[in-house]
Amino acid sequence: MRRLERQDLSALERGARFLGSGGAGDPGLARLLVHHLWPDGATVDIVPGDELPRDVTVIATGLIGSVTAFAERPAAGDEFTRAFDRLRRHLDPTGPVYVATYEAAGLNALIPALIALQTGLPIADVDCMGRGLSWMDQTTYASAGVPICPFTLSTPNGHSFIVEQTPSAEAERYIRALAFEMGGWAAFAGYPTDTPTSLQHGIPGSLERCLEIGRTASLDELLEHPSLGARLIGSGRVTEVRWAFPGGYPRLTAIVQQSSTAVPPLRIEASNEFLLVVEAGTIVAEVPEIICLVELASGTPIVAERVVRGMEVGVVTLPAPDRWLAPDIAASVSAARFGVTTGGGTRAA
Amino acid sequence: MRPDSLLNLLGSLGLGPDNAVAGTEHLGRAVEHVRLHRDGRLAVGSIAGSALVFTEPPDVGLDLHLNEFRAAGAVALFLQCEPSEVLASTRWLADRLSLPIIVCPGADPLDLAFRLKRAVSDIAVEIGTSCAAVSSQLHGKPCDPDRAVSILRGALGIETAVVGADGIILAGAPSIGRLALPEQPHARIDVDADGRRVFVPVSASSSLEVAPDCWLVADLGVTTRARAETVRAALQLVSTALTAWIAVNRLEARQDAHLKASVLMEVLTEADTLSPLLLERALSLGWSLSGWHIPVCLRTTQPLDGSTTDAQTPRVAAALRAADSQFEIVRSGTGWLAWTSQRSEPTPTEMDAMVAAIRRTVDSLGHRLVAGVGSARRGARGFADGLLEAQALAGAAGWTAGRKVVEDARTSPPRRLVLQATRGADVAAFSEQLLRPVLTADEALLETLETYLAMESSKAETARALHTHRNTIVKRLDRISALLGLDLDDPEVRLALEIALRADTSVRRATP
Repeated sequence: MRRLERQDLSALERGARFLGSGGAGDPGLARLLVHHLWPDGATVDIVPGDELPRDVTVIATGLIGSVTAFAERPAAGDEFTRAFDRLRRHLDPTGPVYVATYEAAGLNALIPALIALQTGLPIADVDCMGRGLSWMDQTTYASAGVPICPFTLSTPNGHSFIVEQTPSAEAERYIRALAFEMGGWAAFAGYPTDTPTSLQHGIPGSLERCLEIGRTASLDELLEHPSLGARLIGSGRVTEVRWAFPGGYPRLTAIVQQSSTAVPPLRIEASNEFLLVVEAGTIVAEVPEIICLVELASGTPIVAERVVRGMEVGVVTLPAPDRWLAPDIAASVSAARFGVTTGGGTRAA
Repeated sequence: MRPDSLLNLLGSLGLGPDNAVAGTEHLGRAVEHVRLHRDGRLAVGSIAGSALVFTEPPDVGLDLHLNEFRAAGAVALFLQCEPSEVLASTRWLADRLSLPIIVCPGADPLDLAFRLKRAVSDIAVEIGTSCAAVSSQLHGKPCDPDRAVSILRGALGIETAVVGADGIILAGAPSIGRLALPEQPHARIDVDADGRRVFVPVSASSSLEVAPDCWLVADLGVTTRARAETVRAALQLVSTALTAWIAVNRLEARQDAHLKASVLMEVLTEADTLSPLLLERALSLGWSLSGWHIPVCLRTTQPLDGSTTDAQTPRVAAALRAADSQFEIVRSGTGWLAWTSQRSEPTPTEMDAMVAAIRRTVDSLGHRLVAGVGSARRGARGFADGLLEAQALAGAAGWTAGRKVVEDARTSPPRRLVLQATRGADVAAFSEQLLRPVLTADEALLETLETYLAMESSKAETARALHTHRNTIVKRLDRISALLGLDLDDPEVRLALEIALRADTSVRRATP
């Protein structure tokens, strides 16, 4: 078990930025919120997957909807805990309940710490995304048929909803519609699982990985880390940025011009997250691999919506969570799932 | 026909090297086929030697398949997008693969593919379609030069010129008209580094010994051979309509001019016994022989052939009608007879104004024209007498000293006598013979003689008029006397010299 202290929030935030892969929202806002609500001397327990008691019910939590709306419409601070408690009361399990995040990346990596502080419950280090992803049906649980219901949604102004029964594939539509009507974002609690289910179909160790990444002080330290598997594809200046909106979804194409014209420019495709890196007509990185654009001056990963011309960046990848490499579920997080057609293009060996 | 290069193909579509955003050094490749790439799929068939036309804007898929296209032998890619939409990664790779990417902003990709295919492989269809477009504008009728240029611009999208004799541009782009015309009267296509030019002769005569009436010229720039052949076929079609126009206008002009001259001669000779038939003919030409007529005769003092004088008739008519819109003009002899008619007798002021207007007209026309203005006369008899008088006065008019460019019938009788005495070929020949020793000597001698006679033999006045010393004048007069072998103190000699100096000789130095 690991004990999380307030001073660990910076590392958690930094790691969450990398695992966000250009999306999942700005964890800095969540860190400010959690830091503000963190009582002096308090600690939070993070329980690794292999240490979870067998009778635990794990409830996945997080923000759903627009992270931009979250920045504009501040949280009250208790809506995530209210959503969690509402679901816990509904389930009324006989055994202990642990809190988890559904997405150990971006903003959502810090939400379970908030709930753990307010409830005194431990955090189970198992999520169902392992990296930033766009939709609630892009979870390892959904791919395995683990039901999302019942789930609850709560708003800063005290409204709450409980959805008792709907297929996971349909839930994404309902969640989007409700989040919109609820002011753009809402606190979510759902995917109630027992320990065997969460270990079998979830992604254990995501928060530990997030902290491990976040403790590297610089890009070089990240690349030199013996076990994180970080890889530098190239670096240079962002020279072209084009946004399109096919089917209403944002699509970013950015060109990173490397050191000389003899070296091919890197072409980055993104939606909410970075999806594809192409060099000289060859795919050199592809989702679910975690692709990051790291601002060289600060060593900080950039979210896709903030990529602008003139930035000096390094294009870095981290290995995809193993769960997403399984052939039966890989398609749900492929580039095609995001509308990027590669047409069977050549991939680097 | 051998496949044409990508560069020539671009020219035929109104595109150029600036439309290439990558692979610009390889525009000389031959294009054999055209293939459509739609909805992410290539049209069926090999793409070796092909230009690929894409219906979708470029995306990451293009980068991912460029290697494949080049390996399969594609020659170029055509994209319907703005140049900025082809990103650096695509351009870099296309340059490395030597694969030109051509952007056609705003183009309909299906239409582009169709036009490319036609330019590459369907030359007969291209020629037929283009000629049909031209023919539909001609409507099977004669066509003037301005309309010919306009039709070719509208149907084929090309600029042309109709060039007449001496390179005079009858219609169209001046820059095209300055191209050197072929020596032989045959249609031809010239090719050089600047592109292709098409020349088609236009001639109303079937004889090859006769130079074409004009040329139809098109400067196509860099384009395909097929395009040049298409344009030549279209120009030959238009040249037929131009030929018809020339023939019709020439016939009408000749008929009209001959008729007028014929009727006028009859009127002038038969004014006393004007027959109803002749009057009817005159009336059919719009001539009213009643009322008052102001007759004018213009003639050229430079030797011009009949066809050149004919060609000046529209200019003369326009100039006279600018002075008085009612002028009627008929070609006659070495010039023109003209008149304006009105119901009441012209006042002296009106006559002064008319003479002044004729003088301005003569000045504006050049060719050293002179004119005679007859007295205002009335009726058919007055019409004829006035024109004959104007003709005589025009004969007395001239550019030499002592003559007027416009002789007015109101001139005094003594002047008329002098004019009569200095007219005629005999007088001119004898005068030239008499004055030859002075004409071939120092110019100052001729000037001195003319001034001395004008100053009524006063040496002092002559010196004052020429701003020189009296002794100089005396010496010059002595020299003149010696050259001519004549005594300048003899009044008869001085009269003879005055007549000689006023005679109209072509070899003399003329003063206005």
